[in-house]
Amino acid sequence: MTSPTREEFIHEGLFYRGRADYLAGTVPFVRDGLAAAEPVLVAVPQSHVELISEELGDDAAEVRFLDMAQAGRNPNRIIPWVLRAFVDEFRGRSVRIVGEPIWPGRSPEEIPVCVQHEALINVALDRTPATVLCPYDANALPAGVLLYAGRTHPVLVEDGERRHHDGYADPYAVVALLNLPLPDPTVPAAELTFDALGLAAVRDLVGDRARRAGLAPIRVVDLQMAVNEIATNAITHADGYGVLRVWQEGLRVLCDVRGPGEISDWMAGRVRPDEQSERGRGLLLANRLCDLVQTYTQPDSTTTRLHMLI
Amino acid sequence: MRQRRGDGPDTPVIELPRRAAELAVLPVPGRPGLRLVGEVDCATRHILDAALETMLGDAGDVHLDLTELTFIDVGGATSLVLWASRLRGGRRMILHDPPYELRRIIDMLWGQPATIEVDPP
Repeated sequence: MTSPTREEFIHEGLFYRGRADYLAGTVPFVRDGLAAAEPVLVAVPQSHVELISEELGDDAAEVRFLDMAQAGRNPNRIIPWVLRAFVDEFRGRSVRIVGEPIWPGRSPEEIPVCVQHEALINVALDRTPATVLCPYDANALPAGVLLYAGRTHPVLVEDGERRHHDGYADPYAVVALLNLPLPDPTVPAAELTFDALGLAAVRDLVGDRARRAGLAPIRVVDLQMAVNEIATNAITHADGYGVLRVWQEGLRVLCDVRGPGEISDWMAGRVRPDEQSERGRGLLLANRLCDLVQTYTQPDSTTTRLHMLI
Repeated sequence: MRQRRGDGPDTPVIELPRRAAELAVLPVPGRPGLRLVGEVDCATRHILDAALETMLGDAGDVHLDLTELTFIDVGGATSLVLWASRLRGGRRMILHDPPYELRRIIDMLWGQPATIEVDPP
């Protein structure tokens, strides 16, 4: 006997070509959920929200919609604030989610972080009664992205056919493969070495550079808060010093925090801890506040790069 | 294309003084509470924690005057929220004029804790 369907997590990748194919792949999936009285969430870019919503007609009122380009701008936010949040809201019930984290127009540095996110969904929702369908634009996304979609989804849907396939890989293997050195800044960066008694200077430098770059005042504070948490983790989870670098590339302010120690838990920053927990919220908050968070970890050091769009 | 304004954020810093957070915790005249002056981060959190410990036996609502609190990190906010969660019998912790950081952290990570009131809301 297999375990009851309710305890099973199903993660499907949908390769679609064009608008009609998109609707044919997503709308029946949504309707099946509604027919089974399952809570349904559609988290896709706004133009696709409108497409699906229009096709559903009156039934759209029964569906929760989210603009993924906002909610999932930073892909590391999607597990805690979108998927897990929805699953937990309806704890004990089977839920159904259309989640589209990768769309044409995602920047090259976002793609590996998105793929790592797709892999870690399989960890985050393991044994959760949820079905998640992830549409991929097979006409417009690079071939490499589609190959990785096979690595991260045990089931692929294409041309109306749903198939289990052999390409699915261990989520942590995919994440490790994409644990890559971050490119050096293309311009000279402001640099500061810090320890636990120097975090105020870290916040000063970030604030100064972010303001000069023209970041909105509230986002300057958000970035200071995020960098402060990453810097705190860098020096309190291991002895020694951290190094901060701040610079601007195009319409982005970037902050690198490098500290000693290796990240061993790739789910860190993607799990909302118990309300009474003392720890585990720093990286989570940084993921919530920043537009992109890249990580490169080695046995003796970890670099976290925070992006803020101006 | 790179955009530059003024000196630009990419001007290298040769040397910047090490600056640690400083925090003073003062009594609030006339009612049970604390006035926090300065910054709470991992260098000063222990000062906040120690001050909160001394308030545990008090009765009634606890007032925190945060007008002069210029920064608080997630660790400091966690201290406040967990301390407030131990309040019983209808007692609450009232945060007067909390900085943006504190509102943002509580809102994003806890929502609206039952025993915390924010003034102004």
